[in-house]
Amino acid sequence: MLKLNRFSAALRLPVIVMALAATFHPAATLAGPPDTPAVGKASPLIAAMQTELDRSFKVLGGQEPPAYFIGYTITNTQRAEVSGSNGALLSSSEARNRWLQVSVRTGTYTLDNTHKVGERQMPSGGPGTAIPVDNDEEIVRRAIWLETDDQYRAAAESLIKIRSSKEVKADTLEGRAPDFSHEQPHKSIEPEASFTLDRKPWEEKVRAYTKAFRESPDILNSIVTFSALAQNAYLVNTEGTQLQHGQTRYRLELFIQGKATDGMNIERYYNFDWVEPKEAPSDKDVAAASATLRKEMEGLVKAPLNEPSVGPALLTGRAAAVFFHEVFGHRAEGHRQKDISEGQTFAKKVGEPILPDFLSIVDDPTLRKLGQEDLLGYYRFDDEGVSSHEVVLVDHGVLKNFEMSRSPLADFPHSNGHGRRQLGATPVSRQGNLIVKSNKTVTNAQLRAKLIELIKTQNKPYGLLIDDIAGGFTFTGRGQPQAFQVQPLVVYKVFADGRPDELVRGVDIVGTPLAALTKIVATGDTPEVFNGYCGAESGSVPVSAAAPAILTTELEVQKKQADTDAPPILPPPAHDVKSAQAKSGGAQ
Amino acid sequence: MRTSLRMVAFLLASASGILPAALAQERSDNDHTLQAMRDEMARAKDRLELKFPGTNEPVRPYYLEYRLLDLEVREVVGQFGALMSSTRTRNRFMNVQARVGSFKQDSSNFVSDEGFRGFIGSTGSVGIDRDYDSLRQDLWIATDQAFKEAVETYSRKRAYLNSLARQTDIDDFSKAAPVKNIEPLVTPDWSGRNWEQEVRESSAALRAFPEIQESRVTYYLVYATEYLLTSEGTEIRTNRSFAAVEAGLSTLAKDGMQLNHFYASYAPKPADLASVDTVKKGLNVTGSELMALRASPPAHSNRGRPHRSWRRCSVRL
Repeated sequence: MLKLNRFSAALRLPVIVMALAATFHPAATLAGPPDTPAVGKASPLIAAMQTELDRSFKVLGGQEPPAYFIGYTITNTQRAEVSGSNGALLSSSEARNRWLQVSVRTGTYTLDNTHKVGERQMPSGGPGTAIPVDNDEEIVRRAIWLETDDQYRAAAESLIKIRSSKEVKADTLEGRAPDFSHEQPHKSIEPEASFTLDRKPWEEKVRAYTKAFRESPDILNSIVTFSALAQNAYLVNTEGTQLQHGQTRYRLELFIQGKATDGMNIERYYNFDWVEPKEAPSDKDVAAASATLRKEMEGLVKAPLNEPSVGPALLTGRAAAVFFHEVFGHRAEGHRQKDISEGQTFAKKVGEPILPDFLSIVDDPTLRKLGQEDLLGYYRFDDEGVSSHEVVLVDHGVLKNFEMSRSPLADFPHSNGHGRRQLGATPVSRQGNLIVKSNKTVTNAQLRAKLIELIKTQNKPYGLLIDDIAGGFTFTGRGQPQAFQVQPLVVYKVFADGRPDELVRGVDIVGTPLAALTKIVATGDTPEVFNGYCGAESGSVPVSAAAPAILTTELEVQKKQADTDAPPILPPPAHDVKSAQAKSGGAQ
Repeated sequence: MRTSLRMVAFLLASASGILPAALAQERSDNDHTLQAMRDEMARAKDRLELKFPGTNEPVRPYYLEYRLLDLEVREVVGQFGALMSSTRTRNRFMNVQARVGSFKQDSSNFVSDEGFRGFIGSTGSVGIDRDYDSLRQDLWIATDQAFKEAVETYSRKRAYLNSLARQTDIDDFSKAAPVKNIEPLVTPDWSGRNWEQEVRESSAALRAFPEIQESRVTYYLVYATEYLLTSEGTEIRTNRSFAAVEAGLSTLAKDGMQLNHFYASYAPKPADLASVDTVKKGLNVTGSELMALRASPPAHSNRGRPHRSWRRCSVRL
């Protein structure tokens, strides 16, 4: 499930398309800078972790059942956050913490304590524990020692249960794949990431940004949050991997809430993401984004509701990116092909066409940027210590590969560096930078013309232009329909007879993956990036999705879930004419 | 005209001692909180009105209450001489209550499964600037939500009570004489003590007990300012502070039984909190007691069976 908070300008008018074209540089998009990491000084944590690892493995490797793999990860997080609401500061804080996670595997790579038997699967480690932020070797080793002991006990108990219950459960083809893949160890010590930040200027900014939203009576609440995050991971394991790597990220989130007269809640978002302090958005950039949000909010609260329909639709680049993330990306995650409770939509389709032949899809976490946009899904090593790779998932419409963690498949025995997790969770295969490429492109203006042609051909009263999407979700388990739902925020009806586009609200896109992916008939020529956080089994991880605008012959939309509480009885205090008149009368 | 009357009332009240000098204090400390509360409450009292669901009967709030709590908290945590975390946070929490009906029977004391689903809510975290405009915006939404919720609840309550053979004789809400108590605004005094260093030094005392497996020594330093405004005329602004050192220790007995012990020391304000030496002495005593407990034999039940068998034995390394 993806919660992506960006929005794009629309394809509504050719003039806007031209403006967008000036912003993006397709020729520069997919190259990416060469990724040669700087060499840093090893943190004392690495030595402490390695010493304790050697000591633990020597003893636990000789127990019954033996531990055949132990891995330690310490994540050091420095986070500053400044948040404002309706013109005032909501909070301002900075914190540092460290989190230890220990993974212990008993048995063998082929059959270990994580083997899924029936519906039950045990993780290779617990949620972990907080440890001191001071580099005190004795205390760090003490924490690792206790956590290793806990995890070994849990792993040993699990393996005994698996060995006994395996005899009474049916053997499946998927279950014959090994439990853990053999991978090459990596040694890489990069400089530690950190930031020095004066929060005062940001406190003033969030006050000013949210105060500006008070000017609109249709905006009932506004929250603007600036955050800076420096995260360093230190990882050692018994295969010889020793890593120290980190990233610093900055984000500014604009969020406003409004309410239509029928009670429907309307929300609009805009995010700026950057990695270098000098790339922070200017006040002018933020004001422009805020003005767009405000205008859209004022339009949406008055916009008519859309009725359920099926017909041609055009999704702008960022909307299309979320569409591919939900409809395709989650179903290409390797562990879903192995799990018999999953729908396994694409498990047996490797080598077969699943998309129109003009479309290819890669997942490339090694890319820092796409054009001018920073990609949130960038990382050099995944959370299992495997280096990230570009993975060609679909080549000219034909399925080629999956995003793989260290949970191998029979035909895909190795990880391609997509084992990811939120702190405290166990890694599974996840998306990084999902990038859709097309060799059947037209300009966005031509794409709009093709939409109008489709409306006429299908004799429909209108088509839909999906301009911005809040996020979505998809069911991948067999217990539910293999359906997806994507939640657009800005949708226009496009008419074939030349009438102006009409903004509508209350729309959810629904569909099933195999059908939806084959209805794409053309794409735009300008890839756009959607940065956000994706939630799944291993928690919330930063991801990017990029795609050009897509034209589909058929898209089904349904009504959005309704809210029934009415708008406020009184006008906002700042817009209360009656109150102001009373005050001025009093002053006279 | 209105301004003049207000001035006269103010002078009269000051002369008679009804209005404390604290109002002048409120004006001098740049805290616009109470003024925002007063103005939004006045607007809500005058103009909030709905019809009872399914009727033409108008309903207005007979009682409104605004509460705000400003909290400034420092929390410093240490373990065996190392710093675990150190945070300092400021928050302001809002709670708005609206009652419809009458003191005899109103919208309170009734729970229904089909309650009102608020949009932003009548409670929550709001801006910490003590400014006027943002607080009015927050109070406006919260009052609207609280009032609508009260109307819906009261409607359900009336329908339910009408189906009962006998009504309750006890009033839902009591009248109270208004209170005015506006204390001077207090600026938090963290006393200049190096709390991070103190937590390192005091928690290091537990290094003397290698058998202690886990420990956390936490310093909590809290300043709070509370505001209360009611439609009956109560206006309160009060300050409180609180400081604590709390420590939790755990170990395993040789038979695998987990044993815990605690240490705590409290003070009314951070400057009065126990010194490092005092805390170290306290932790030494607590640690020694835990070790004595660890060395003691397990208690047996009356039937002479072991108290409990523990899954976890002592650690392997």
